[in-house]
Amino acid sequence: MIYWKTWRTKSAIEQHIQTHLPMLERIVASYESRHALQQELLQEVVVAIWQAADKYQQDASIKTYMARIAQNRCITHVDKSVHNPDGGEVEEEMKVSESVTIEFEKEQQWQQLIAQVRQLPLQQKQTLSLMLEGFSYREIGDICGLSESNVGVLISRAKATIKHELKER
Amino acid sequence: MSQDPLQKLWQSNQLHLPIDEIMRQAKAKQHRMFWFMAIDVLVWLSVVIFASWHIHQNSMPGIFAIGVFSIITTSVLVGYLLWLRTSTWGIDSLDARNTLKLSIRRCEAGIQLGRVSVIYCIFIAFAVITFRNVYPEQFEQRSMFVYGWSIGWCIAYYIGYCWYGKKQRQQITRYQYLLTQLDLIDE
Repeated sequence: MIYWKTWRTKSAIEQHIQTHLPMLERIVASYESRHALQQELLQEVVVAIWQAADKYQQDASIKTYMARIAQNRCITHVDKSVHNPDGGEVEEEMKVSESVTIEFEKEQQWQQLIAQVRQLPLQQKQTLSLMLEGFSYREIGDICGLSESNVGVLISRAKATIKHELKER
Repeated sequence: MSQDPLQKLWQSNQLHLPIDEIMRQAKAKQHRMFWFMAIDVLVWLSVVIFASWHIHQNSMPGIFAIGVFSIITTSVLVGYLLWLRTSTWGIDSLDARNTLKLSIRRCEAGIQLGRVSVIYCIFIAFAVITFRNVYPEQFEQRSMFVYGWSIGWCIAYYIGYCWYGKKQRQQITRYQYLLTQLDLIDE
């Protein structure tokens, strides 16, 4: 009976993961620029969501729950970048940008945006990426452990930085 | 309600990573993690069975002392390792600050784990040398091998501990830097 319940929960979670995978991928991309490491980090996020499936209490939406786990996994993802946290990314980003510029202008704009988001301080990055995913200030506050007013301040600072940087390009 | 242009641009990104492959690898990773956890228990079990079998087969006091010693020390070590692991579970429902603090605790537990393994190895080496002197008949033909094996493991563990400890300390520095960023925002 318990096994059946666990199996059903996990299979439902699998469907939710499929639905929200684009969101998870964007959150992961806002922390990690290298494609291979993105895939690895996304796997870690999926495993973490899977393992936490039984603990999910329906007091928050499943999307919020997944975003919280993804953010938590991503901020502790330093294993491979710890030796050179800033180096190594620029070249990769330029390669990605160069290859997509030829084909998709919109894709390039997105790459510029994600590159800017990656440069933000941690909590600005967290709050902005969640806002861009469509979460309310209250939900962001719950996920990040911040008050709504703090969330507002962080997002406006982050947006100002991003807009300024994008204009300069 | 109209959508923020940045939000629109952000959400316009299409999925690039292969979903099915990621799901398959995630499942495999989860199974792997379970087996890694099971290895600790299996190692402990095999030491207990092997030592008990030797005690049962040989009635010599030297074998009995070494067997009991192996069972007790391995049980203490494995118990401690499992406690270290389980005491750092529960990252998923936390906010950023507590997640980072928990990660720092995990790294510190990792360093402690390495330290305990080295101490355990040195302890075992000393115990083997002591047993060699107390019960020389058990080691008559194998003195050099026993010394070499004991000291070799100590050196290998110490090198592993230095490498792993350095890596963990680098991670702690990184987490502490991120924690400082969070504290700056609160001020």
